[in-house]
Amino acid sequence: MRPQPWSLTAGILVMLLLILPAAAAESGGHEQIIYISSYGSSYIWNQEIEAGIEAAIADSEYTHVELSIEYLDTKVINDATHFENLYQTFAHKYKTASPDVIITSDDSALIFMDEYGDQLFPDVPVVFTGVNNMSNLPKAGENTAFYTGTLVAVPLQETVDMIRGINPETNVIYVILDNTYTGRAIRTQIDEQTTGYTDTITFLYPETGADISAIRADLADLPETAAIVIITYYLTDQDLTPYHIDEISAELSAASPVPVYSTSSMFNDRGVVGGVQVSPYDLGYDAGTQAIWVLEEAPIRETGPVIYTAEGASIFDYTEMQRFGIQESALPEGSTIINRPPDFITVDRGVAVGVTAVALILGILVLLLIVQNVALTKTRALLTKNEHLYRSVVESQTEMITRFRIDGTIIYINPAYGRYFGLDADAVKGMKFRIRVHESDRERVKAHFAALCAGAAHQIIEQRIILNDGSIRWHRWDDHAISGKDGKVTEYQSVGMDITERKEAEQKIQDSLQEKTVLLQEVHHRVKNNLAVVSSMLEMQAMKEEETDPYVAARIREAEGRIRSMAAVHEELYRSDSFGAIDAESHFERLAHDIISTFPDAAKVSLRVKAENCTITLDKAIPVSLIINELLTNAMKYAFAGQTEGIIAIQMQCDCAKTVLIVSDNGVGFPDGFEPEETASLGIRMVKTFVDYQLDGSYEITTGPDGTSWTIWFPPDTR
Amino acid sequence: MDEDEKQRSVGIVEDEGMIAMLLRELLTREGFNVVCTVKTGREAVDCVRDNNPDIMLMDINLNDDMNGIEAATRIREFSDIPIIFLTAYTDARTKERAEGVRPYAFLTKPINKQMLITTLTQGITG
Repeated sequence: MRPQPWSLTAGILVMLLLILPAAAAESGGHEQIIYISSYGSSYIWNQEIEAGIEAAIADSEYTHVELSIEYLDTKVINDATHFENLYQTFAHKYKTASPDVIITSDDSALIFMDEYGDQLFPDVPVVFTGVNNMSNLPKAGENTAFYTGTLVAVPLQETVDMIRGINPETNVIYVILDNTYTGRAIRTQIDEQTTGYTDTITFLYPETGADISAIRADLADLPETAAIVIITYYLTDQDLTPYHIDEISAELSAASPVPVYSTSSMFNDRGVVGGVQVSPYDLGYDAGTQAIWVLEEAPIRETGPVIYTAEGASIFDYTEMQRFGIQESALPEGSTIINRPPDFITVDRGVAVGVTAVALILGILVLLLIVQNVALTKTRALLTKNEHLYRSVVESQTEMITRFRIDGTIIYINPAYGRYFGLDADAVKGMKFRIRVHESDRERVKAHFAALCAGAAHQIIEQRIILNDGSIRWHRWDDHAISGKDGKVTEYQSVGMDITERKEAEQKIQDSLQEKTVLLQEVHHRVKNNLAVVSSMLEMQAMKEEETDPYVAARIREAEGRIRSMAAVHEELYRSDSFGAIDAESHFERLAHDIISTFPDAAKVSLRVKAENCTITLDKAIPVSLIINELLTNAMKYAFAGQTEGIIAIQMQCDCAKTVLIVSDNGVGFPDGFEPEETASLGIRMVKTFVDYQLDGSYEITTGPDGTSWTIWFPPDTR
Repeated sequence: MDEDEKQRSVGIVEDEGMIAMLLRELLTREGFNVVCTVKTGREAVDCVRDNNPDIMLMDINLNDDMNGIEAATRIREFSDIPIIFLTAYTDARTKERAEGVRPYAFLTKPINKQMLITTLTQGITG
C-alpha cells in the first residue's frame, strides 16, 4: 500500500516541532561572555575596548549573548591581596554561572586569569587583548582552558620614524611612561625598539615616580629639536592624586614647546599631534570577533593559543598640526587626520547634495552667463566700434549737430556746433542754451517748431540769428522732432549750417536780377517811346502831305500803323511780369482795336478775339503783330466796301505741336481775278515774308462772297 | 480873342518832344488854341494859373520830380479845369491815385486821333 501525501506532510511537521526548540536552545540560548578589564570603568582605554567588543557582537549572529564586565582596577591597587580578594568575590559571584567565553584586556587581567581561571571558570576559553608582555601568556599545561588573543607591541619605532619624517632635525625624544606593570612592560619593548637610534636620537624618560609637575619641568627644558611621545596610562599630581586620563595629555601638551605624539589613539583629540597608534576600539572589536569565533568553533585547549599582533595606524590631529606648522604632505601616506574642519559634504549629505545640485545649476547658469557675456562682449565691441565710427562721422562733420530737450537743455552738441558758438561740447551737456533768433524771424521760427510739435517729422527753416558779438548770420536748420512713448515731443535733433555767404550771394543775384528787370523794363519803355516818337513824326508828315498829296499821306499812315503795331508789342512786354512772352488774347484785342480805330469806318466793324491760354514770345510777337496789322488794314480798306457792318475775327490755337493763327472777315472777299500770290501789294508781300522767314510757317487763304480767311501755321515757341 | 477861341483853349503837358509837337500840330489843325505846351509838372501848374485854358491834356509820367497826378493835385488847389490824362499804361494803383484829382478822362497811348478830338471837345463843352 502506497503512503498518502497528507500523512507524509504531517510527519514532517511533527519532526519540525520536536527539532526546532532544541536547535533554538543550542544556537541562541543563554551564551554568556565575561569581559575582565585590568583597569577601572572610567578609564577611556577600557571604554574603547568595551565599545569595540559590543560592536563586534552586534555585527555577529550572537546579538543575544549576555556580556558581563568586571574591572580589576589594577591602576589603583595592584598586589597579591587585591587579586586574592577579587578571586573570592568572583568565586562567590559566579558560583553558579557557566560563561562560554572570558575576554581579558591588558596584562593584569591575563595574569589574574592565569592564576585563578582554572578555579573560577574551568575549561572556559579565554580571549585576551592588549597584552604587552608576551611572557604573561599561559604556558602550555598550566591550565586547561583554550587561550587566544592579541598581543600589543607599542609601535614606538614606527612613531619615531614618522617623527623624523616630519622633522628630520629631531634628535631628542622624551617618552612619557608610568611605572605601573604595563608601563614597565612597555619600557622593555621600547628599549628593544630604540637600539637602532643610539647615534641619532637621545631618548629621555621621566624619573621614576615623577609626578606631572616634574614632567612639565622636564618639558620646559627640551630643545626645539625635541619631540614627546606619551605612552603612559597613569600619572599623579604632587599630592599623589591620580590624574584623569582625559587630562594628562592635554595638560602636558599645553605645557610643551614641542609636538607631543602618542602610540595610542586614546590620547587623540587631547593635545596630541598624532603618531603610529594602536586603537583600543579596534582591539576590543578584534577581541569580540575572536570571542564569537570561539562560540562558533568551540576550540579545545590542545589546539594551542592562537596569537594575533595589533597593527598601528597613522593618525593625526589637524588642530595640533596647525599649532606646530606640520604640513599634511609630511605625513606618511594613508594617514588619517582627525579634527579637520569639516567640509560641507561631511556636515550634511542631504544639504550637500542639494547644494551640489544648486551649484551645478549655478554652474550651468554661470556657463550660460559666460557664453552670453562673451556674446555681449562681442556685441559691445561691435557696438563700440560702430559708435566710434558714427561718432567720428558725426564729430568730423562741418555741419552743426545738436540734440536738446524742448526746454532747451542740451543733450549733445558736436564739435562743429561747439566751435561755432564757443561752447565746450562736454561742459555744456545738461545746460540750457538757446540761439538768439533775429526779431524778424521769430514768428516764423515759432511756427516752424509748432509744426514739429503738431506731428511733422522734420522741418527745414532758414533763419537769421544774432551772435554774441551782435553780428547777424543766416542759418539753415533741419529739425527733427523726437517723441516719447505717449507721442508727445520731448526732444529735438537739429542739423544746421551757416549759409550767410550763400544768402548774400543770393541777395546779390536777386538785386542784380531786379536791376536787370528794371533795365529791361526801361529798354522796352524806351523802345516803345522811341517808336511812339517815330509814329508821331510820321503822323506829322502825313498831316503835312495830306494837304498836297493824300495818297502819300495814306502810305505814310500805313507805315505809321506798322510802327504802332511794333510799339504795341513793347508796350505789352513792358507791362507784363515776364519779359519773355505776352498774353496773346489781351494783346490782340488792344492791337486790333488800335488798328481799327484809325479808320473812319471803325464803328461799323465788330471785333472778335479768341486766343485762350496762348502766349507768344518777343521774337514771334513782332511778326505776328505786323501780320495782324496788314490783314486788318486790308480788311478795313477793302472787305466791307458797300456794307454797313462787318465782323473781323482773330483766333489763335496753341498746342505743343503747332500754333495756328486765323484772321478772318465776313466781307466781300477778294475781287475776281485777284491772286494774292502774285499781287504787288506791299502788305501782302510783307505777310508772306513774315510767315516764311520769321515764323518758319505756312499759310492758306480762303476767300469768297462770305469773306476772306487767312490761316497761318507756325511751330510753337520752344522757350 | 473871341469867346469861341477861349472855349477851345487847351494846354498840353508832355515830356516827349515829338509827341508834344504832334499833339500841338494836330490840335491846332483841328482848331484848338494850344495855350501852352510844357514838359514838367510845375510848368503845367503855371500854365493853368497863367492861361486858364479850357482843358488840360496831361501825360502822367513826366521826366520830372513832379508827375502829372501831382501837378493835377496842385492845380486842383485853385482850379476845377477838366484834365485828360494821357498814359501809355495805367496800373490800378496809379489810376486810383489819379482818380483822386477827378480827371475828366484817361486816354491811352498811342493816341487815336479821332478819340482825342472827341474827348477834348466833350471835355470842354461839358
